[in-house]
Amino acid sequence: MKSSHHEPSVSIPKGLTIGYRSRRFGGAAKDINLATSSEAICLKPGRHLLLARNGRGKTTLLKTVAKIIPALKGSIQCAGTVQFVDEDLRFDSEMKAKQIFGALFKNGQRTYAREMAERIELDVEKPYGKLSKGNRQKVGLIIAETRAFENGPHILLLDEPFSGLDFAAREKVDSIWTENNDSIVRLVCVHPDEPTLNAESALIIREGRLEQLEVNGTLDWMETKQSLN
Amino acid sequence: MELYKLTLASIVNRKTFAIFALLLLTLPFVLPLMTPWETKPTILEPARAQAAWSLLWMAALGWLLFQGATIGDKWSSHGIFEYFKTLGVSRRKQITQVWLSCFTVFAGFAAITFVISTFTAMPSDSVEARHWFMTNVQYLLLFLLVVAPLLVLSISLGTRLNGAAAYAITIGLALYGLFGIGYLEVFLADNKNPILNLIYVISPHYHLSDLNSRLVFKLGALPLAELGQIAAYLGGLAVLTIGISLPLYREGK
Repeated sequence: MKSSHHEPSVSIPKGLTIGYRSRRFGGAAKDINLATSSEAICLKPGRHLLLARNGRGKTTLLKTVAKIIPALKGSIQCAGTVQFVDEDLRFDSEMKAKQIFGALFKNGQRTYAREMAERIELDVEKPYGKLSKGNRQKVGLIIAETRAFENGPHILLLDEPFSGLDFAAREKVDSIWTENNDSIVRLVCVHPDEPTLNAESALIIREGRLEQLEVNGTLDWMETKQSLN
Repeated sequence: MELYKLTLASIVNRKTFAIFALLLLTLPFVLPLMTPWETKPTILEPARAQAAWSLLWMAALGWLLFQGATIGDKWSSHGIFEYFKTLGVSRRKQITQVWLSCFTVFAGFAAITFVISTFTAMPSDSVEARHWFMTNVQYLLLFLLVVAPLLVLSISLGTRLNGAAAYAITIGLALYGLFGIGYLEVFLADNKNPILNLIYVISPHYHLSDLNSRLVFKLGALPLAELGQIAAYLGGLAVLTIGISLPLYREGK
């Protein structure tokens, strides 16, 4: 289906600190630390979940990996094309999904996007502004997956991609990810209350520490949720 | 060029450009007929050119700068610019692509005006006709030197403020440079206030690009030396405007 020349990866060094630098007018800059990695973390192709309670730095970590905001200490190395799909990513409300795909992709990719839309039941003829939250999420997911369908290593940073998606759609996305798992690193930010997902590992932010849990299949969800408190 | 295609598709899909295109195509022929032209039929053609260029200014201020401000606002608040940043599209490339998408449509407006003004109002005398053509070419050049950097400014301000504020600032600057300075000039004729004089000197003299009076009164094309001076001044102003705009631009809100 596609060939990959290099294996994508994300390397987070020990001691990497994420957060914000606030600057008050006339005052000195102040760092607001959200989390520090307590060990070196390397994400290989596959699915990696990012779990934390609200406001603990999930989106900040994704934005730091995507180099949208700088790390407060240390730096993250990414091998591969990075895509950050924000939960709030929104397109022109008047445009139909098929027009968005038409603007972003060439013929082969466009076909792939249309097929994926059909598979996860997205109405590509409906204006984006009239789509439900779940269906808007599907547009972002399709764009990320279609671009990753190109040759070469890809790193997808997905910020709560399942919010608003019904169970059937989640299962279909899950099976698409499983089929296309070899050359893509997917770091998926999920809310702790999401249903169980298969994953290679889970990154957890708790008490200001960023840690990686090896999962080998399905995460022990209840135990992980309780550990976040 | 995906951001360019996405933005262009968004502009085309919204279809407001069609209203302006229709007005630019029809009003230069209709508006002069609403004047007492029967008393002097020879004014019809210069009036058509004047209407065409005035409408193009209105399209630039009313449509182009608004597009820039709202797209800058929307794409930065909706995560589009951040998404393209992660794909490696730099700030400079992003602003260029958005600018180009707005200007692609606007180039059509400018072409309509140029064709109407040049070819449907051209004097029959060959010497006058040559001057007429050259004046229109000069007008187009100076017009673009004013409008193009203002579009960059409106996009950048849109990414930092909201669309309405970005539009208000840019159109305010444009209106001041086109018309406000004229009032200041009248005021300064009787007043030697050094501060007002300084304001006058450092103000953007966009009115220099307005060659409507040269067309209406058939004054002929600008001498090359004068054209060079005005173009150099407006070009310098364009560099300054773009230089201010680029640091203002940001991908996310």
